[in-house]
Amino acid sequence: MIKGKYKNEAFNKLKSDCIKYMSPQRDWHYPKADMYLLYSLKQAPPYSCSAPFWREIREEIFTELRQVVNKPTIYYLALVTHSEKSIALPIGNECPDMYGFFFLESKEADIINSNVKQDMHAYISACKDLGITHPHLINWFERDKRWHRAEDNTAYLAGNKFYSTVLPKNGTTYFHVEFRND
Amino acid sequence: MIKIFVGTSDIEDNWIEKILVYSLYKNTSEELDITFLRPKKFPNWNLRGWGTPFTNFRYAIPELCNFKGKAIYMDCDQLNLRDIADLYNTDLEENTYGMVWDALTDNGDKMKGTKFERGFYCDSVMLIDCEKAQKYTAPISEIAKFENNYKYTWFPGLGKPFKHRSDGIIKQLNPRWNCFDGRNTSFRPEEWNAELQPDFDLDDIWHLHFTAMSTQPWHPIYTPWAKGNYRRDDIAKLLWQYAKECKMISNPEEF
Repeated sequence: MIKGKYKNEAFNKLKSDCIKYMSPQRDWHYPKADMYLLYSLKQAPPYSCSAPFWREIREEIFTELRQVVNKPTIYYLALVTHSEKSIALPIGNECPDMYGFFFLESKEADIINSNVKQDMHAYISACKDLGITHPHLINWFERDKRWHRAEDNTAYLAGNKFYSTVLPKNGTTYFHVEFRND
Repeated sequence: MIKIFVGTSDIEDNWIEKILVYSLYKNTSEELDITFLRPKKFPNWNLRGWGTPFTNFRYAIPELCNFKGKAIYMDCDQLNLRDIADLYNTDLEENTYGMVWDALTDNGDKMKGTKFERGFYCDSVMLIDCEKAQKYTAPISEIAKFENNYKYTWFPGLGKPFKHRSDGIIKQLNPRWNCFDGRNTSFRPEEWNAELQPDFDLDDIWHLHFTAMSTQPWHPIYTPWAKGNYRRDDIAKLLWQYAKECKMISNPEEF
């Protein structure tokens, strides 16, 4: 997993506008979390949120995302804010290329990274990580996995050969981003 | 005083509820008596098979009004753009209800291939004569326990799907009073497809209904599957403008 800082001003403004003006949505990737879908090429026709503040800031956000990851196409962008009860399911091999989490507020969330290995057992193993409460006590290397304690204003990126499971805390807030290498 | 009942969920539609109420007050100088019809206000009702969390609460309105006077019903996913008093003051003549004709509504397999395949009145906006409506509506105690969706019993009682049978019961309202995502659905063009259905200009819409749930810009929590683009940018832009104005009223310290 690649860890890096990014210019967060535009992302923070977008986050506060989403929370201020939009109605929280639901998505199966993050059960019981509030999510705000902004952009998606996963569907036809592609989706772009109609909120004016998104239309105004979109290119600035996309430009910054492309500077962090040198992939030309932004494939998916959603803001996710977690509650005490919400979870995030593992993602990885369904993404067309690299994907990542642009954390604004980590609240000491954890990320577990594991190899996709193209089999169902790997996904189930990643799901089992959802039950972990003290990830720092585990020797992840022995399990062929990696553990990261997420930091504020930091991006965590992976290729689609790896699953990433975010273990959020109450208030954990990030942008879920997927890229496509056209 | 204009009585308005709004069908809605417990909390999932709060965003559009505020905007709807704001829009109603913005366009009228009349006093409004607005009641939200939410599941938590109707404990022990059988909600199974309803398309929304509030589908059959609307049929309780005449009894809730003690079968007196007039009332307006509307779903929560709407935006008012013209004085609602104009709807309230519509002369129902001998009719019990005022509704917009929806030429696109599907009347089911039984009517397939007949001239009644599509089209009937739509009850998502209704002007109701509560006294006359007693004749067409079961008591609340029965609606609450209804095994199947009561809508499918209530509407045929008004003549559905045969328009002529609803003569003297339903008055056809101007389609602008329940404008489905900007479309004029009072008729169905020949060799129909969705693109041929005419649209109203934004300034010619009186009361807008965000009908297609998957494209509702606020994407309500109870329909998490599909999130589509809203079909008209001018309407979406107006909705977001109203959302901002609502926020400025409710949280002025943030501006």
